[in-house]
Amino acid sequence: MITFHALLSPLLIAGLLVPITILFGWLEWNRKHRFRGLRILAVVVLMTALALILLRPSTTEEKDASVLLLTPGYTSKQVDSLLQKQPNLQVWHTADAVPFKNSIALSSTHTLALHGDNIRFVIGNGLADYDLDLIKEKHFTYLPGQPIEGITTIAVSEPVRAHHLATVEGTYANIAGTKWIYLNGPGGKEDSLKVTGAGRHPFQLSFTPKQKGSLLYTVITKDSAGHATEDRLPVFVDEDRALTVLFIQNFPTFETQYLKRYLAHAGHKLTLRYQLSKQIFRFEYANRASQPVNKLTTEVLQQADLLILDRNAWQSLSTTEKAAVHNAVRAGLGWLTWPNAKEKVSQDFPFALAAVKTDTTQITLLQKAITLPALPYRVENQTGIQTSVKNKSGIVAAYAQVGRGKIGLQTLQETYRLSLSGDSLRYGALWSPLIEALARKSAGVTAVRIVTPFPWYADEPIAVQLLSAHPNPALLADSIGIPLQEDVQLDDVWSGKFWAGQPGWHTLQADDATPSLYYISTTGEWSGLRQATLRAQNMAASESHALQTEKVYVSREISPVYFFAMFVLAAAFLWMAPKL
Amino acid sequence: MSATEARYRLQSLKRKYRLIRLLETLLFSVAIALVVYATLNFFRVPNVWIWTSTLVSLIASYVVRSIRLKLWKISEAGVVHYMNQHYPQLEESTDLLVRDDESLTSLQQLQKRRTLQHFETLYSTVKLPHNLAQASLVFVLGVVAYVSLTAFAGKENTPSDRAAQANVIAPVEETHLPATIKRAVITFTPPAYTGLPKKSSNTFNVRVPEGTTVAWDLQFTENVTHPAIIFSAHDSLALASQGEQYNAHRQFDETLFYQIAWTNTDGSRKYSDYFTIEIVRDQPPVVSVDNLDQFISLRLTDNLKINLKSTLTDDYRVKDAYIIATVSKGSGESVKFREEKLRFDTPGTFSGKHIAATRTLDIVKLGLDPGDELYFYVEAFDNKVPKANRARTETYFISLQDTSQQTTSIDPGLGVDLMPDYFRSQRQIIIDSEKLLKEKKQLSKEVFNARSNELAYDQKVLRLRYGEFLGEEFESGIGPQVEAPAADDDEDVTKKYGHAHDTENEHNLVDDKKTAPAQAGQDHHDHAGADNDDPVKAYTHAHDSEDEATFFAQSIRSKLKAAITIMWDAELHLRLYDPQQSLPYQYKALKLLKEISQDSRIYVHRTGFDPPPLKEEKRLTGDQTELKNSSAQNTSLKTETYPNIRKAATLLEKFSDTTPIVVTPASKDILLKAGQELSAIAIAQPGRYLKSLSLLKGLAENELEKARQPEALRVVKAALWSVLPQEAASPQAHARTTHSLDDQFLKHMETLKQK
Repeated sequence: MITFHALLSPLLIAGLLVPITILFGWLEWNRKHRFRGLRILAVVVLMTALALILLRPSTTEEKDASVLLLTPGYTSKQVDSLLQKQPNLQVWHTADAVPFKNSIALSSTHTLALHGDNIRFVIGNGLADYDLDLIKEKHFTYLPGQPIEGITTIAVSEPVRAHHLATVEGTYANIAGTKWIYLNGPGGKEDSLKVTGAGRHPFQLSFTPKQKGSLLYTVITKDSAGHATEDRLPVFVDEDRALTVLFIQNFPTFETQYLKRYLAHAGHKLTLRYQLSKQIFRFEYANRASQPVNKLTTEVLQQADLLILDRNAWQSLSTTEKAAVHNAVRAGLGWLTWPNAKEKVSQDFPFALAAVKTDTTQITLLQKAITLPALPYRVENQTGIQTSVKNKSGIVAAYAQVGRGKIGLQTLQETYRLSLSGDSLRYGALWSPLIEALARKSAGVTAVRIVTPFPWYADEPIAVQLLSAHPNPALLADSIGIPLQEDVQLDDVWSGKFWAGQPGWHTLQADDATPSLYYISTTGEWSGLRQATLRAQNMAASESHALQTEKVYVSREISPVYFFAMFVLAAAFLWMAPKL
Repeated sequence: MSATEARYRLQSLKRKYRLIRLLETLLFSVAIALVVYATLNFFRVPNVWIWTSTLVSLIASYVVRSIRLKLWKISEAGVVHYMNQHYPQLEESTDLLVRDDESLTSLQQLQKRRTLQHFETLYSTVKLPHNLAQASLVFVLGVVAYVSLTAFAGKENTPSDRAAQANVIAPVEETHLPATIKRAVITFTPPAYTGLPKKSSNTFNVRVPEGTTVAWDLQFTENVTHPAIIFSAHDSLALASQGEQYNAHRQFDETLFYQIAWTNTDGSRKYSDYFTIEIVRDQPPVVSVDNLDQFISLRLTDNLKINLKSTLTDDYRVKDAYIIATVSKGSGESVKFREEKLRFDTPGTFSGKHIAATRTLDIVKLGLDPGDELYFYVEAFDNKVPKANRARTETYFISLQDTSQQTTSIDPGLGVDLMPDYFRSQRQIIIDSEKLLKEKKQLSKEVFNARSNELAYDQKVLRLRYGEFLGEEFESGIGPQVEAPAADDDEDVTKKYGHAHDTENEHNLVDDKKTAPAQAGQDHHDHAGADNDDPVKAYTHAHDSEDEATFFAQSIRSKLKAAITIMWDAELHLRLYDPQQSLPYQYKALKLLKEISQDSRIYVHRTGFDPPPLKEEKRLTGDQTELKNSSAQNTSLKTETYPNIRKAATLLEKFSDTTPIVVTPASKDILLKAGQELSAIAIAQPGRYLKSLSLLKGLAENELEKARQPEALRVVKAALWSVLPQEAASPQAHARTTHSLDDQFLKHMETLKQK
């Protein structure tokens, strides 16, 4: 069946062309030349061709309504096999995919909103999640296309802080051969590794940023022929934030003095209390105004982020003070302690200790083995115990969640030796993770999280989730407000969507929270990662069971090229006829 | 000659002509190609272009020349035509030679025969037209041009040449003149002592010996005001104007950076790139002793003449060198030293960079006896002015073994070798007395008297302390003495000093024969009574008189007594406010004390800390009312290293997102400050950061073309990043936003745990 999609009104076309045809026919009739019949025929053909160009005829046929959608990365082998089994499938292809034989091009993915429900198969990398959203009823089977080569997952360990070792973890999908992955920082090469053989290779690269702020690292993948791909990895290095630490001890020790010096040097606010006699204390303050702590109360402990209180000092506390410490820990305070050399297990501890024979232990810090004295106990590995320092002999330093807070235990002794020997880097590497893990997490009111997986490209929607206790929170993307919708079931969980701007750093600002930065990558970067994400999303939307198909009429426009050829041939004949 | 032969000859003439022309063309085109190659090479055109243009010019010139000479059209007819034209003897009939006889008329045949004869005679003299000489000349010229051009251009290309150049004291590398500087002449005058000639160049980066005076002579393309040279040492030097010329000079002892700054006619301040003045330090001479071990032990029977060979080298000139020899004689406390400066035997005077010097050390002449030691080292000076560099070797030891060495055994009680500490005290009193006398005129009488009295007190304290170890009694022993039982006394002293020296037993241990004559009388004090007038003494065993109840030998005791008596006198005069009178006594006392110190060991009882008496009524009462909390406060924030470099690094991170780079005045300021910090570091390693410094400056001034910016950003970022030190990780506070559900979850977990 033929239908017309005329450019102009058919009547108008007829009104114009029929008189012209008659006029030209009459002129040809009167011309004293050979081929009169043929010439008149040529005039008719000429005008018909012109009419057809304007009328745009298309064929319509009854077809199976099921659609096979081809997306970039499909293989013709897959399509052939599928068509062999289901020959009635209509074949569509997206604008960026290579056409397949008679496949119909989707002029825009927005048409998916109309016809998307009929898609039964998607082959290739799949549709972007925002395109998937356009399909109301997703009943399709997704078949991934040719295997991906490149980095398929990547994540930077959050948060990244200056002078802390940060890691980049990822997976490299290799088809064949040897590949080298380099991590370059602003100062040049940071780390590299080699990937050999086909398959998915998890990798880990590490770097130590020396500077705060938003930095761009580069992940370079090179093959043995020297072809390299460069992808920029955005890294945001957090600002330093000071902790408030309270040391309660019966007497100063070298260990705490060096710990004090280390923390004070880093700008933390410290209060140290040593017992001189029952009611008389010596106080030391660093980076803060003096404020004597004669009694441990909930108020005092609320102000502290970390309490360093050894077991001897603990025993000399009053019952109310002990209760205050416990309550404060449940409310979020971190408590670091050293077990008493004599007592082994205590009811106040969430730890079980196992005795060992040696009084020294060897740990590895920043790729160097170090031997340090340690109490002859190791923390037993139970549920709820998080390890901070561990070696062959067992867990040397650990912490456990108690309510909102944590209690940490350090069995290493005389760690100041590291500091004394000038190895302040390793001293920091030993203490920093434990203290950081223990310290109170200040309660923020709002938190913003980008739900759309990295990478984000310009002019693509990005979904965000906001956790806010505000009754009517506002979220600004580069000072443009994002409309937010609260979750139907969950309180305080808001979601929104906005369009990514130009490649580069951008900010997300939620109410009073510190703005969070995100980076829009240049289109084309992280192609492996993008493909892998797409495939995962499509796979998630995919269904395996077949659905009853319905019949539809499919119209296909007849290419105007044929008519144009007719037109040219007829015109050429008319021109040639007098010369023959 | 037959007709065929003639024809063959003509053919060969044709071939010859073609060859000549070919050669000629080849010479021309090669010459042109050579010149093209050399010219392009001279202007440092990329290699691809050089080779393409050379080939193109070679082929083009060849083709053009060939077309002009119609080389491919050379035919027999042409040769024939040429022969007809140039050799009238052939009577325009050469063409007959190439035709067969059959086609010729008889007349023509006749003519042909004639022509053949002529041709035969003529053949050897035929001269074909050519420009070979001209072509050769052009070729030679081309070669000359090539050689001369490549000779200049090629120098900087080879790395080995560059390496060789680095050692030369001269411009380091070619630098482009800043846009507004038209001409620059930089003259460096090395210090005279180096003997290096004065040099000039037009490059701004220079490497010169220490102390060189560098003079700049600049000419600007436009009118400028306030031109100055800014040095990295936060110092600047204004350029003096002489018409259109600006000049300045300065002497340099330190490696530093500089840039030229000037104000344009439009009032804007312009800065040039950074340039270095790298100083080559005058190294101290290198001295070595080549033939001796550091420790040499000789016997008296060995050859006691030691030949010392020493090598002295310096970067300019060794000016002087000698041996410092020290002879140590004696042993124990009576070691005496004598120092001598020995000249080398050869050479007599020093000059040159490398000198081998020798000297024979005659051990005997130097006065070494068995048991003595000779220490020596070689010291050398170079010709640096004003202060010569000095270098010396390690100290070498030569010892002459003493085969008859005695060993002295020390008595068990005197294990501690303690020389008295306060002989200086007496000296101090003398010095103070003399000072007091000197200042007498300026002082009021009261002050003078008071000070004199104070000195007298000091003198008394000193006297009492000496009295202490003469026996306590001495102080009080002015009046009549009560003889104490000898045994008691002995015991008392022993207890007091823990020193069992003067016991009866000891006398059996002492070897009588070995005692020195001077000591003989005193050591045996207990039996000296035989000579005494007192008859009782002869019969009693007066072992230890109270006076003698110390561990001192008699002579020391008497000397000490004498000293104390003199101290009395000294004190007396001081008390009378007459230090002048007191001084002779003080000197006498000092002299005696010195003698004593040299005579024997003296055990000095050191007085320790005397704690204040405890209040018995307060002890153990547990009263803490007066105890208070104590507190200490400190702020030990680390100062951020390189604040501006950090700021600049952040800024450059931002820049890398934006193209083209827009430099605001604020960011320019940050970049320039970072440049200052970087230049301070760069002075230590000039080669490493110079490029980054100029690129940083280029970025700050927004002078770089757009195409160069990304690369410049990368280089500068890397340089800044590498400067930042690795620091210890420090824990940080974290924020966490919790949902009410999280709290619920934790609560339930807690209750679960408790169950």
